[in-house]
Amino acid sequence: MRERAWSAYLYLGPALVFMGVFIAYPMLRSLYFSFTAYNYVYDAAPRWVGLGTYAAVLRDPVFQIALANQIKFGIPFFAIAFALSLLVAIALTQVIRGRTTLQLAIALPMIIPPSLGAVVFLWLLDPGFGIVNIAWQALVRTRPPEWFLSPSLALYVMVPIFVWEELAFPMVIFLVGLQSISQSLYDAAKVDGATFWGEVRYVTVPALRPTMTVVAVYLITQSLKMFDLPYVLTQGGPGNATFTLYYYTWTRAFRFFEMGTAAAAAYLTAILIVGFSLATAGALRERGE
Amino acid sequence: MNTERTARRMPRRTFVKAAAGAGLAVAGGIGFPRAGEAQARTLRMGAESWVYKKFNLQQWGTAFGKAHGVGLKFETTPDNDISPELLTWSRGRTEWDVIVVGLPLFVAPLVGRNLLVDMTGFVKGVGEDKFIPTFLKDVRFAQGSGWYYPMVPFLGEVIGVQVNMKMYRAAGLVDRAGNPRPIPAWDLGEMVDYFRKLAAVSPKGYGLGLDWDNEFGLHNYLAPLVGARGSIYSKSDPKMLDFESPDAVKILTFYRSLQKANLLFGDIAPTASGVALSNFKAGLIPAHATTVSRAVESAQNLGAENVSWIYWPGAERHGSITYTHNAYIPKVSPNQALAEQFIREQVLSLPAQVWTFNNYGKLPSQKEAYSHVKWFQREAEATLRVVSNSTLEPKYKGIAQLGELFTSETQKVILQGTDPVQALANIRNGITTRQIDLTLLGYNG
Repeated sequence: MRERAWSAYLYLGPALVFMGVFIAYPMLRSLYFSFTAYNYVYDAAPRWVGLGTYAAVLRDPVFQIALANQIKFGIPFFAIAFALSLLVAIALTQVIRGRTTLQLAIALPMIIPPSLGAVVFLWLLDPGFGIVNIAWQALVRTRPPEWFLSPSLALYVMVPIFVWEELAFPMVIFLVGLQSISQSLYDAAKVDGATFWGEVRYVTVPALRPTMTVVAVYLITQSLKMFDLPYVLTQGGPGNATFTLYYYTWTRAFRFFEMGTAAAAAYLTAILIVGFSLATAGALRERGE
Repeated sequence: MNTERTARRMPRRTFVKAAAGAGLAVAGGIGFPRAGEAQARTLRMGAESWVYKKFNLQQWGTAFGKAHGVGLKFETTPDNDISPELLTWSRGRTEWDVIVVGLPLFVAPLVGRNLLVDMTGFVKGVGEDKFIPTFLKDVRFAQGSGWYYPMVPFLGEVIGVQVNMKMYRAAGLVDRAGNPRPIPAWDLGEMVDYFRKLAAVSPKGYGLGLDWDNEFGLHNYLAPLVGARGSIYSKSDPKMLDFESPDAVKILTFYRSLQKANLLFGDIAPTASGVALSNFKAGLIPAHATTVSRAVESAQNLGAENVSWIYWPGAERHGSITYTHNAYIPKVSPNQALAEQFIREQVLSLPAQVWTFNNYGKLPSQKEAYSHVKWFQREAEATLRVVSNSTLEPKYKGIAQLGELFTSETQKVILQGTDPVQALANIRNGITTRQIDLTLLGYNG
């Protein structure tokens, strides 16, 4: 018996060591940094300032802009990505021939590195020879909008690009959820005279609620973690119009070398992710009950 | 149940052996050589991706390897990001023996941490008089009451405007000798008209492409400023960049006027693709405010007869903004002598210096190279005159913070029509409220 326990620990050991070194230690270390003022280039050692770093980050106008941008970006992204992935998944369940090909086509952006995807859109929307602008000029016969140069437009141009990048995973989750709904429920609904939309409303949606929770939490997390697009497309500009929380954190850590500020910003973002996720999960559970 | 578990269990000895083996393999694999460890006859080079293309680094490295029987390892380093070097070097380890790139502005933190080999003896050995003096001055860093060279400049850049001669000719903006007419000196109406004439003959209706990201925003603000008033510094504080003079207001007003008139094109919000450059190279825009080296690069697409470059008004007298690309060696490298030999024999060699100008317009740091360039001799000579009068940007500790503040405020002026006076006041206030450290790292004498 003792020998079995020993073996179990031995098997668990590598995973525990891995998680300890690469997850727990960096988390604790960065938590410590978040309470310090520490420029890792110029300061000999971190200086403990307690909650001062958090206060400074919350007072920083750039952080406030990043937070506001995150909300302005997150709401349309969440709504579109959630609805579209569900609709595509439902549509796919109705397709009999070529379903695998369609699934693959939709899943393709998942295997393209996000930064590469961003570069593709950069070229598509190039003001000089981007195909979108050429088509615009041919069809609308006016100068196309300056997609990434307009402070009021740039952030929203990123929404469909990010939806394109992120659609596959929630769609797959929804598809699995849909396929796990018993056919007998639909048959019963049909007997009761339910239309297609009636089936969706009274069978699909209630049965999918746990899946919806997973997808909602996933999309909120992805939205708050959005970094690649502002990094590749706009570097947070024009003005600070596309600064996001992750981009803010990155600039503080690797442009300014302010590890304390970056750690505090990262923890604030993590708190937001956990908070939004719990709220969403709670809302969906309550309705379910 | 017990039987099942027993059956799945790996014999303990086998498991321990496997775990120990894996541990050793991982430990061996991730180990970098420490300072002083022998790394016999292998030179590990790090360079940003563009250096492989525009300086042909692989060719010079391979030639060095063949000549001396040295093994070579080429790696790409992140653009303008010294954090990997900083973190590993400060722990006594390195993946590279020599880094062949680096703006002093970005490398300054490594200098601040005393992580670079002092190259003063090396530079004196090569001969200080062989370098373009302004380029050498760019890499002087304070040391005690004097200065030293922690890096070696191998290429230089100067800010100007590359021009499409076909469109200049069509717009009637050439002189009798066929050279591009200069930009009118600081009459805003005339300046806007100048670019309006160009826009009228440009396929997309734009007059000027402009790079205005965190790096180029400052370049393209300071270059016209130094031309206009002969200095980039504030009158009231000689260490502080000028964010208050009437000329400073005029420059931002000028860019805003171009944007308002729909004449401005480009990387005002920075993008990875170099939108303005690629459109200039495609013959879609008539002028592009950037480093003049781009013109030679564009000539590969548009033909040498269709490309030239000019400077902002006043540059012949006051110069422009210039900066350098540099090679440097980490103190923790076990191959310092080999790295120095590579810089001396290949990086500063005549073929390398001439090749990069002929193909990509990068300005050689060695004077001798200018008498061997195959084209653009007239422009190269004019450029040397401008470079000799040019100003180097200050190497502030907080330059990245200043860059972010400056770019966001000035982008608002250009794109949203914010009042330039207000934007400059915001920059001055932001420097104070954000406690941006303007301590100078470079030698300022």
